[in-house]
Amino acid sequence: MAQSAAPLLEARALRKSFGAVKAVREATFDIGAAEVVAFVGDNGAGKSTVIKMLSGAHRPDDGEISFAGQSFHPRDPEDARRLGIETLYQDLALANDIDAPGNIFLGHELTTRKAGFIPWLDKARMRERARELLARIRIELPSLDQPVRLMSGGQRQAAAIARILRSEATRLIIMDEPTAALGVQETRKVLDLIGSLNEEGLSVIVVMHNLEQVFAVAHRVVVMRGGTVVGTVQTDEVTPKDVVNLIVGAEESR
Amino acid sequence: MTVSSSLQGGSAAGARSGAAALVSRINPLIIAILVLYVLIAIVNPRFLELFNQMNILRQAAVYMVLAVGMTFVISSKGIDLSVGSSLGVCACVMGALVDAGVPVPLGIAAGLLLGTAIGMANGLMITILKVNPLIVTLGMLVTLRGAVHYGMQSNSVVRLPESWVFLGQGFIGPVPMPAIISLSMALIGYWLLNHTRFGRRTIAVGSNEDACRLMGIPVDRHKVAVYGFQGLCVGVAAALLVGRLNSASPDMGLLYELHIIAAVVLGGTALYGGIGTMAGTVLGVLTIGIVENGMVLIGADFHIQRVLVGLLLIAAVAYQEFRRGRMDRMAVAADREAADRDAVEREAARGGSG
Repeated sequence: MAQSAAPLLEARALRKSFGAVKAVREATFDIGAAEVVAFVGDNGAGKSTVIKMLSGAHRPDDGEISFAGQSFHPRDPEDARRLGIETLYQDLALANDIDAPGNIFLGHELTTRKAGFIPWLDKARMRERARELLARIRIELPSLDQPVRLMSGGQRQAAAIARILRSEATRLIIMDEPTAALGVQETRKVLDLIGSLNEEGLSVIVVMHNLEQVFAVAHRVVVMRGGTVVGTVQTDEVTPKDVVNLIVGAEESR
Repeated sequence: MTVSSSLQGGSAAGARSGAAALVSRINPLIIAILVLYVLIAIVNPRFLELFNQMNILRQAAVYMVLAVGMTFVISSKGIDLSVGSSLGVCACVMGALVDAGVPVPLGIAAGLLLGTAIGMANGLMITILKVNPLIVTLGMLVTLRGAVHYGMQSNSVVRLPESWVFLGQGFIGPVPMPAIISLSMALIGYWLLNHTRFGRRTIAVGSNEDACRLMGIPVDRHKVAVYGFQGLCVGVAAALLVGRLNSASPDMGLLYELHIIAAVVLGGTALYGGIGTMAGTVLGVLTIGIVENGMVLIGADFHIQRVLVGLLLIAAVAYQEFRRGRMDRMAVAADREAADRDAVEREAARGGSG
């Protein structure tokens, strides 16, 4: 399922520095349509900087990104979202005092008009859509009325994931360490979810440390070390040990 | 054994959070107000007379209008200490314009515009210069008060046209005009806060500003609008106060900011942002108004009311902290339930394989 004709996203020779720190020296990779790609590497290897260039938070100093056949220069995350790239942030980016439907529609609130002219938040429709989106990812929240502050880590994440699916334009989802803060059961749900999103035809980039999880969900693995993409492997062609060797650079010393 | 005990733990936490949610929906100020009514009425039954009840609304009107705006500012995790001074400026500019022959509606409109502009200036300084709102508006508190005294040479404008005085002193039936205007503002505020994008985003910005930016909300522009709305409320309050006193003087609004912030926080709007309640604000303003009015009627020393209001404020913030702590505990309970389910499942898996 991985290799279709033209990749959905192509990144060529991306570079990004923050002052004297070269966060990303050379990142070239592509993401196929309906493909799950894991980014792995040590802390500081440049994974999150690469991801932020795709999600619109950072602009590359150099290099080219094309998405869906077009040159891709998002001004900000909202722009990237409009173009079809959504991000699940590690801290979930939720307004904790607002309920799940409110968070799912944060910044994109649905409104209606009362008496023909008075603008009014359409809470009923947002609730309804929220329920649909949560049903689509097969998650039931105990309540759609309570602020997400009162929910468990897994439930909060469910709200954040449902938000990613709100836009019909979404074709690529970036997940930054989606399982880092979760328990066993909730981790398994997230892994299942990545699989089912993929079956719906969405591409997923996932940053993960746990190689067992990586091999469970990803078609390919992009390995970064010291700000450079040092290798891309198919999970059905290598073992986790090979990936570990790439991450720590054991390959070269052999 | 382990299984059953962890399950019980989970369901108990669930039941507790349900009861807590119900209790937290009732604003404790309603109880405080009821107690005040009974206590004051026992000492002086005249407190309950319609005229006196309307008097409470009339006296609370200016504070109420200011507090509507402040509810938005504080919900968005901001603060505006300049409302009192800004009120003085707006009052004097309106008064001076009308005194110089400008028609009343135009003079008041100019004051509303000026108030809005001052509020937006606060917002722009906070967002562009990235100075803490407490400092920006403290600076404006001093600056505007100095400016209005300088501009007026410490003189007052007195004896304004009838139509303006009606706004502050008139009645429609038994209901004073200021009460009508201030309660209308509170209704508009309620609608804005609970049923519009503007209100929803105000809460969201106060709750998690970074998340709002990531979701495409123009946070800085929104803050300018929030402070601008506060400024508009200042203009309305100034028009009311000038009408009520039939004069405009540069000392108007002195120390109002403290009164307003106390009322809003007393009502349940959170000083750390993200929680705002317009009904609470109305109750907060009325509570303070009832204390002030009641103290006079029961013949208590004038200064005792300040003692009471101060203590009420501390009690309200203590209650907010308690409520916040309870919410954190509920979140922990939710996480623990999830962990319990994991444990149950692991146990079951182990039992199945063994």
